[in-house]
Amino acid sequence: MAGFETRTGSSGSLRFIPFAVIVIFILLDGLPAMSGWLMHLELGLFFIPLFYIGLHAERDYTPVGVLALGLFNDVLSDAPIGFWGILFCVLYMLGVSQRAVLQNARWGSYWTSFIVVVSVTYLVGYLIALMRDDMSIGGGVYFLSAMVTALCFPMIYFPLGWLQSEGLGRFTFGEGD
Amino acid sequence: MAKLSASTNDNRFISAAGIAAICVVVALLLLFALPRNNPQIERVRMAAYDIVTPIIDLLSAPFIALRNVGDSVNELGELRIANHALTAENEVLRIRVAELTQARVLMQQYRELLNIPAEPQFEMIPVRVVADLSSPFVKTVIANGGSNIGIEAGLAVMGTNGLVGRVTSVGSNSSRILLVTDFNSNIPVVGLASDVQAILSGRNDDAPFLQYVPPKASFKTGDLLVTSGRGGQVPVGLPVGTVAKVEENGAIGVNTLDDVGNLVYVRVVKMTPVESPPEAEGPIFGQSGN
Repeated sequence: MAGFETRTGSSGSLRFIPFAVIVIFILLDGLPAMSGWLMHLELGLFFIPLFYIGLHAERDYTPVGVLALGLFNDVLSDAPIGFWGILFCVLYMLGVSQRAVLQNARWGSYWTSFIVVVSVTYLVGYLIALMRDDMSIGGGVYFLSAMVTALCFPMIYFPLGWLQSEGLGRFTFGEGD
Repeated sequence: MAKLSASTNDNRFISAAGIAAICVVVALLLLFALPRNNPQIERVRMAAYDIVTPIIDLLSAPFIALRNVGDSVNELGELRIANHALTAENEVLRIRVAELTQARVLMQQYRELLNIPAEPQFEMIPVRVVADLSSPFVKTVIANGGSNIGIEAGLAVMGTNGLVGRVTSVGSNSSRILLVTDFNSNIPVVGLASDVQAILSGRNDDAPFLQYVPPKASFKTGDLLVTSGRGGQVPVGLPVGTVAKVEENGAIGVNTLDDVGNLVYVRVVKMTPVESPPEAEGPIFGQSGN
């Protein structure tokens, strides 16, 4: 399988696509559950475009936008204000830290990297919940949610990259190794 | 290019890494400094719900239609069986209605004899659940009616069969309902058969449990729990659930009468809250007043 050639940075109106996708996922998170077991999961699908932003954003003030989106999710999800804000910032920072690692990496490396990043982020969320009196979560279901989120990665990340590459030609398949 | 490493750009006052770090600190401060039920935050939340509710309503339409189609297909196969069962149940209910009518007349006569004030009347306001915010952290839903139809914070909310939660905050056209399964939900209840009072508390999973059960009291499995009316916010006698079992850790689990994870329509119980008696102005009987 060919690898991805990742070039950081994007410009124009398409730069906002990952942010728009995050807002859509935050809104979709509030939809009534379709089935019984699904309602127990805390899917963090918005983490996938956020990871994309972490790998590609080049503006210094991107973290401010990321924090704003986290706070927006706090307001809509009825979570304590700041909870998702922290998790969004943590995942963003972890995403940025993977830039060098994922230069010319294979697609599987992106996925593996996301699994690690999202697991750490969920762990941070779990630790915060443990510290607060007004939050109580079941660890099993919570970390299962992290795994299900990680499974959804290719379905969102690669179409997102393709969508941006259509306009920018920046997200391309490399020669591979 | 901005990286989360120490910046070498001398023209910048602060590096990208610094901005990210500041964002994390700000979020941490907000998380640990702001109380959960801050009224200003609640106002912001409700304003956001007012804006977002129509959007979520629109987004959820195809999902609800899909679910309804699935439900209809499932129900078709069960219609004949259900019809038989409902016919038999209807016969039993007719007898129960006659008994209840007789009991109601008797109760009215006893009230008049004893001069007991009547329980406050309440009305049911039907609303539709448009957003389910339930997650491992919270168990709340958003309904598509608010102060515009007379809903107020604190009112009890019934599902088809029993109590499912309470309204915690109200916007102009939306309201947030804290479900009985939420970690922060506490409802005073009483067992009908055992006559034991307790607090029904949530723990962010499927079923709530009973707290503050008197030491020598015991609930029977299957005992119907109704609201006790303590606190004056929730009316007396609303059915809540049945006692399920005593768990290994000693907690008494409760089966709610409705599937609180799958609510579509709910009814907000609007009643006149019981007012606290006024403070005594003069000296209290038995006190010298010095």
